[in-house]
Amino acid sequence: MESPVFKLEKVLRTRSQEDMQDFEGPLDLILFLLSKNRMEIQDISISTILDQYLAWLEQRQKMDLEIASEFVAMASHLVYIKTRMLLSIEDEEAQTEMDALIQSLEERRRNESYGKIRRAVQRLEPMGEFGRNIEVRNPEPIERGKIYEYDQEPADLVLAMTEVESRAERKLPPPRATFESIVRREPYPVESKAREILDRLRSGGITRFLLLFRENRSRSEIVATFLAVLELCRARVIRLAGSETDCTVKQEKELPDGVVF
Amino acid sequence: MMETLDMKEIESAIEGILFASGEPVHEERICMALELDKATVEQILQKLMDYYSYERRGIRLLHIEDSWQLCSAPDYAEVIRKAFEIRKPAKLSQPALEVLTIIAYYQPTTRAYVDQIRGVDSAYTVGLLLERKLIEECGRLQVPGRPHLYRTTKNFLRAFHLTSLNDLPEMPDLATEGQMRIGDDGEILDPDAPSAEMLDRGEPEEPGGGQPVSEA
Repeated sequence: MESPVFKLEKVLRTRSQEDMQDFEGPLDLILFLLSKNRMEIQDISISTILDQYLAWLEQRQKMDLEIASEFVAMASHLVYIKTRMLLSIEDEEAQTEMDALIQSLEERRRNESYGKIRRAVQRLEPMGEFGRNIEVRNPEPIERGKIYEYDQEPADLVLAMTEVESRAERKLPPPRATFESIVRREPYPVESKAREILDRLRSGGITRFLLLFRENRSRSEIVATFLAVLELCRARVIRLAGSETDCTVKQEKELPDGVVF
Repeated sequence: MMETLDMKEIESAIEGILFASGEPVHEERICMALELDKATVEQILQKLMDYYSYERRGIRLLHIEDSWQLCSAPDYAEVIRKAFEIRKPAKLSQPALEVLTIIAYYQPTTRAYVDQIRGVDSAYTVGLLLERKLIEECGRLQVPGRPHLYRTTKNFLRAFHLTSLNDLPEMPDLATEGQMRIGDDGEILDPDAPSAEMLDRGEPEEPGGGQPVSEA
């Protein structure tokens, strides 16, 4: 057995052991070239792929191997796409051809994945037999004993008492007076605002949302009106319609008794 | 206060803990109970596991991620089932195996991805696997529709006798497996067949990319 002959660097850039694979079809070859160039199917560069594809074909020819006609057909197809793209970047037909190529590649890859999965299933299936032949137990409910089992010092009782006493200082809710600076009685009860709005709707029919606020004198009043609108909406007594800039208000039904604002 | 136990007693203590639990016990729990470090505990557990299977005992020890669980020995499955008059659980259908495999290898993944690979609607099968607790939901993919993501469960690992997902068999690669190649000089290289010369000389068969069949 003669010792292996080490080849000189080849003319073609693409020369490598891997290139000499047999491919089932031209799509597989293209997918292979894409992965070699670390390209995604979507980013396929027609020039790069075409050059490498033709290089591969030439290699096979050099070896006097028969090239299946489909490979040649694909080569001419790629040349066609490239030519049209060179002639005009916005060539729609060329783009459609590209899309069709991309779709075929994606489908091919999906089929490849599915094929891989099916082979993986064959490997995995016998391993599943294990689970069918074993039994495991669920945990038994563990009863915690009712008798107190820990050790404690008498001093701990004193500590506990001190803790309780310190908490007792906060046992009542704080008096109302402490809140007076923050929250005052509402000068504009929401309920009366609601009735105002309804009176207005009853006499005027439909009205604009923004008009409801026109006569409001202070911020509290605006807030009260707004809250009233919300409450009335919630009770489905009024209905808001239209857009952000042009909103109308309409009464839907009577204010039911016992509505709380 | 912990009396020092000798090795045999530690083994038995762990055995007791595993039995009392029933469900898988995390290593940490055993470490804490026996005041031992993780490496020691793992060593003892491995010893127990080997003991059960070497002595062909009726129970076996499973190692699932960081937890350990006792189970009945599969060798005696038939007689155990007979003792309780129960039947062997049904095996998974082909579609179920396919969906499970896809999720196992590509997790976390969406149902849409599974559909895409299989070319069919897998909703029913996904539901079935969820019920059998072989897969579980694990969040959502942040794209329009926010579909659920799925992954396999510990039950899956147990059912397939895996310790972790790393133990999944390697995904066979369609492009190169069993592929006949053409070498530098145009000769045909068949990775599956030993060459005639090699057999004559008594040389061991080379895996993949072997010797040329005929002299160049």
